[in-house]
Parts: sequence; structure tokens; C-alpha cells
Amino acid sequence: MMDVWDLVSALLLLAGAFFCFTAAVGVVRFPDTMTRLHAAAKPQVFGLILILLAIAVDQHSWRVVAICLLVATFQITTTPVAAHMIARTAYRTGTWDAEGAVVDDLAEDLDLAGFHFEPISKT
Amino acid sequence: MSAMSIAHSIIVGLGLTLLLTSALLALSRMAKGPTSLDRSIASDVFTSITIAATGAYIVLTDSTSALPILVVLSLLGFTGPVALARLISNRSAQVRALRAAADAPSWDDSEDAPEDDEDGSEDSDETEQADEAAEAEDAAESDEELEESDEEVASEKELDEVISAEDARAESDPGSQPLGVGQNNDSEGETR
Repeated sequence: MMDVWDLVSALLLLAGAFFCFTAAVGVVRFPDTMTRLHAAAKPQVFGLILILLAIAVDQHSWRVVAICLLVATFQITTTPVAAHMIARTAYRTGTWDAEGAVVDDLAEDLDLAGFHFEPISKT
Repeated sequence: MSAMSIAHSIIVGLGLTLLLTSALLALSRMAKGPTSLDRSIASDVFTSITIAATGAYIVLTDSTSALPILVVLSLLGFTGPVALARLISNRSAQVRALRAAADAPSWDDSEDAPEDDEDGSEDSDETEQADEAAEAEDAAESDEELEESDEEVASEKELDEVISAEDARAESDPGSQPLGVGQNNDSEGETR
């Protein structure tokens, strides 16, 4: 039984898949770890939320909506944690493009705190 | 209603094609990513694409039996990058940088310093080298391996502590260089 809600759900699915595709292209095309992290964290979660919205529109039940809300909450809370850990490790081991960075606030704060930190090289 | 059905099929097919392409792109980055962090990012993206594909399956088949897979994947996808980021510590890179900086004057050309292996069989040998090299560094501090400030130039006692602590994998940290990674090429190879 084809409904207009199915079409809306398919459009939301297409939009979410497009944002996942954007994230994958960014992960492949961007030059270093920090920029790849940017592509992997933000459009990926947005595309996933769009696909969860497509599920919630497709299935008309509050149970499915609750589970989709749960998954969206997990994604929104856990993806910044993982991105933060990866970015911290990349900064500390120096495997990021420090020459391409416009601003590096952490280096200024570390200089104020008495640490001198030199990134290794462009990876 | 038939035209709407055809449009539905076309839109869903386009979405699935985009998901498949992005999964292949993430796999290619996972294959050729220069550091392990890039691979873990690609793994995270791939997990999210798997969640999206499961959502597409739910939308296509109208069966809600795959919904717990979404919950499990969204919780498990985040543990991998966090565990890997904790594993690639600054500590091993720091010790390697100190060791390379200490070994640098003992070679003739410090640029082509070969990378040390990680077994503990050469423990006393490297410690003696570190002693000699640390004494030599105080004389030649303007060497190109040591452009950092005095916090980088470790005294020989701290070098012994750091190297022996890394070999014994002890928990006690001297803490003198919490963030100092030297400008060498060896610690870059640590994260690959």
C-alpha cells in the first residue's frame, strides 16, 4: 500500500544517504587527520539522524520512534567523545598538518602553561 | 499510485547506491590511511554507514525486527576509536623521541637514524648509549635534532628512568615532558 508517507520516508532516506556519502567523500579526500575527523563526525551524524527520521516516518508507531530517539541520542553523545579522543591523540603524537592549521589555540595555552610542543611533520 | 511506487523505488535505489559508494570510499580510506587514527576514523564512518544501511533495510521491508541492531551498532561503533586512541599513546612516541635524540650524536649522520626495535634484549646497550649521548648533548646542544627548549633535553637520569620504565612497562611517569614529542621521524612511524 503505497502512501505519501512512504515517499517522504524514501526522500529522507535519500537525504541521509547523501550526507553519509558526503562524509565518506570527505574522509577520502581531506588531507590530514583533523579535517577527516571533521568530515567523519558532523555530516555522518546528521545523515544518520535523517535515516532514523525516515524509519520513524515509515513505521507509524511510538515504539519505533522511541528506539530511533535512543539511537540518535547515543550517536550524538558518543560521536564527539570518539572524535575528541582521536583528535587528542593526533595532536599529542603530532600526526596532523600543523602547517595547514589557521589557528592553534591549544599551542598558545600550552605555551602559557610552560610546555613547548612541536608537531612532527605533515603526514 | 503506480507512478508514486516507481518514484519510491527510484529514490530508494539511489539512496542505496549512495550508501554502497560511501561504504566503498570508507573502506578505501581504511586500506590506505597513513596513520592508525585515519583508519579508526574510516572504521567509525563505516559503522555509521552500516547503521544507515540497516535503517534502509527497515524502511524497505517494513519489519522492525532489525531495530535492536541499530542500538547495538550505535553503542559499539564508538568503543573502537576510543580504545585505539587510548592505545596509541603519547608515551611510546615520547620515549622513542627521547631515545632517538639521545642516540643521534652517536651516529655519523643523524638524519638516517634507523628505527629501533622494541624488544628488551638491547636494554643495557641502549641505556649505555643514552648515557654517553646525553653527556654529549650538553656540549652540542645546537644540534638539529634538538631544536626544542630545555625541557626536551633530558638529563641522563631522566632518560634512564624513561627508557627503563618503557621497557618494564611500569606505571610511574617521570612527568617531566608530558607533551614533548621531538621532531624526529621515528615517532612518526609509531602510529602507522
